[in-house]
Order: sequence, then structure tokens, then C-alpha cells
Amino acid sequence: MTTPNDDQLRAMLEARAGRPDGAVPEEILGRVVRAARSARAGFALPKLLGAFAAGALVVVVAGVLLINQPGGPGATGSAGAGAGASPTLPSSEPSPAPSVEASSGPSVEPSAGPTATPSPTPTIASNRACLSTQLTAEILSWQGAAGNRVADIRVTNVGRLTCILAGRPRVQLRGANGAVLMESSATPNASPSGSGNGVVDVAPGGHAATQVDASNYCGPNPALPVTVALILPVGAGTVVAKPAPGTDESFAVPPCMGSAASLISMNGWTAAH
Amino acid sequence: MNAQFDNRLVEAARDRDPEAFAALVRPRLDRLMRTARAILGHDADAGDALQDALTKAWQGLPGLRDPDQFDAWLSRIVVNACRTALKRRSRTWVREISLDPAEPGPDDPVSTLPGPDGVADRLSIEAAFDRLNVDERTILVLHHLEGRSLDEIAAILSIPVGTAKSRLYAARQMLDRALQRQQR
Repeated sequence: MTTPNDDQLRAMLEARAGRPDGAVPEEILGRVVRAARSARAGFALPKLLGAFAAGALVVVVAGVLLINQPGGPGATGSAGAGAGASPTLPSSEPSPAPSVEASSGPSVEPSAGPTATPSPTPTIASNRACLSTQLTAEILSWQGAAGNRVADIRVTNVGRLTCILAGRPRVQLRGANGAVLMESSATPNASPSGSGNGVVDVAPGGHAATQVDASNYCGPNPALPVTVALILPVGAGTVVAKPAPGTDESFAVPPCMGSAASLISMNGWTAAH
Repeated sequence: MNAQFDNRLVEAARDRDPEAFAALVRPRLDRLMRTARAILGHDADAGDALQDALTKAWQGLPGLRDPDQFDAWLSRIVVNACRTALKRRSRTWVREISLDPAEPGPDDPVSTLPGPDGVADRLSIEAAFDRLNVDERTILVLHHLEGRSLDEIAAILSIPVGTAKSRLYAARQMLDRALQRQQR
């Protein structure tokens, strides 16, 4: 051989590229992400404290300047010229910190406002993916048709920051005792299907909705009420949707259809009110 | 890949969200690992290069202005990490090959592999490929393994399309010459 053709070259490269000997990409990514999480947790508090220190410094400096102005409160000797009490002080911009970054998106919430008193709990939107700790979920209804069972699920952001729901979590139908009755394949980054674009900003107190479609369950009778677990991508946790009070459970478990495939899947996220 | 979804993840990762970064990288992970393995020819080296690259990507992501460029940007970081790995690893055998076929090197391997056997051919091609420098390997991998177009290669390597084309041609020439020298 003197000149390999494209097919021969590609075959060689394919063989060379697919020769795993121990390095697992997923583990490598996990190490990097864990290091990133640790770094973020380690720096969040100092940066937050730094933000407060900077805010306090701005307040003090602004107060001193005002007091020393010829027409300022200091010149007239009026009471209540303290930094926190003066409505005429320039607003103190919250400094960015990892856990409270200001978002450039449309979901920025009211911040500390014009008062110079730094808030210990700044409520500024972020662009983060939602974590399970920020969410609650409930099954609003079960619908049944032609062997399928569809759960209408509403998720609520009970956290303090706006977050993003995107993609499709892995979903499980569970019995009341936690036993997994059905489970979808892991497609956390698959393009979402169903209505909506699948990417939803969820403000604190806000909602997002999805539907979970299940068919052909042939296992033992489950403990009721059944729940739907949404396993969020990349280790963001699991949210378990329980039936809202009064939900009719009679359509919660799909009937056995024999040897047909047992399927459960989730539609894309949509905004909800 | 849903571009809007990706762009949102890039924005979130730029805002220092590790979960978004993981979601962004995971679908590309196998391809990046294959690229690193193909360039370096060594699984552990490829793993090290990938880890270096992902760490650099996480650190450098706030500087990425255009989310649409994430894919090319990440590939460029991996390629650069492979370049660094090749330089760092003393056991990796990289050397220049003379374009003059009449100048065999003192340690040129004797050809024993060519023949009708496809495996022998593949090993022979791989031995020649190992004698290419990292830039030549990279462009061949991007084009022949990943199936990247010249436009994409140009974006990944930050070079003009015409340069990508000429480098690809030159890399093929070098591979052919390396193969010829093995077989003499």
C-alpha cells in the first residue's frame, strides 16, 4: 500500500478512536463538574460577604459626601441623616456574586431598590438550571384513552431565584411505596417534543407544565396513589409529582396490553400559570 | 442538537452553572474523546487531554461571546489540549518527516505490514499516521473521522478556509510519504 484511500484512512481512524482502555469520558466530565461545584461553593460566601462590604462602603461614602455638602443634611444639622434612613442617597448597586448574579434576561426581579440598606437576601434572577430543591410538582389530572394514561403535571418554583427548565428529565411512574413501576430511557439532552419550545424560565412562585404519557403496565397492582418522578438532568435531583387533592386515581395506571412495549415518556416543558 | 436549548445552556454555564455546563458538554463528550484518542493514539493521554480541555472550557466560558460558536470553540480547546499533551509526553514519538523520499531516517521502521490483509493495511496506515505532527493528525481527524467540512475545520482551527484546504492536502501528502517510507 502506498496511498490509502479515504475509506481506509477513515477505518484506521475509527479503530484508533474507538479503542477505550479505561478513560471514561463521563467520569472525566463528572470530575470537572464536581470541581466546578466545589469552587463555586467555596467562593460564594466570600464573594457575597465582599458584596455586602462593598455595598456598605458605598453607603458610608455616599452618606459622608452628603453630610459634607453645603446644602446637605449635615449642613443643616437635621436628624435622620444616617445612611440607611436617607431616601436621597444614591442607590447601592448589588455586586455580582456567584449565587445571585444579575441576569441580562427579561426575568430580573426587583432588587434592593433605591434604599441604601443592603438586603441580606437579594432577590435577583439567575440563568441557572432548576434544581430539585427549588421545585415542587403535582399531578393535576390523569387522562386515559386507548390504553394510554397521561398525567398533566405542574411544577412550581418554590425557590428564591428564577431558574430554567429545559430538555426532558428521565421519568418514572412510582407506586406510593416508591417502587418504580415504569421508567423512561435516559434522554436528558434530547430535543424536547410536544408543544412549546421546551425551554422555560420559571420565576419564584411561577409554574411550568408538562405531560407524561404511559402505556402498557403489566406488573403487580401498585400501591396508590401512584406518583411521577422527574429525574432532572446532570444530577440536579429528582422531583416527585404527587396527585393534587381530589385527583381521580382511576386513570393513574395504564392497563396491560400484553406483549406490546411498555412505554413512558415526557413532553417538552411549557410555561404555565 | 436544539440550537436554542444549547444557547440557553451556554448562557447559564457562562453564568457559572456547572449543571448547565455538564448538560452542554455531555452530548459532545464521546465525539471529543474519540477525537482526542485518534489524535493521540493513547487512551490515558486522551483522557488527560479531555480533562484539561474541559477544565479550560469551564474556566474560559465567560469569555465566549457568541454561544453559536460553542461547538467550534470547545473543539479548538480539545485540539489544543492534545497538542499540549503530545509535547508533554516524552514517550510520544513525534518527529519531522523529510519530504524527500530519498532521505530515510536512521530509525525508520522496516516495512513488514503491507499486503492484501485489511488489518495489516490499517496497522500500516496507523504507523504512518503516528509519524505525523499534531497539526497534520488533527486536520485529518477532523475531516476523515469527524466528517467536518473545510468551513468547520477553519472555524475550529481559527484559520482561513483556503489554509484549511491546503493543510488538509499537505497532511494527506505527508501521510502518503510516511507510508511509502515504511514500505521501502
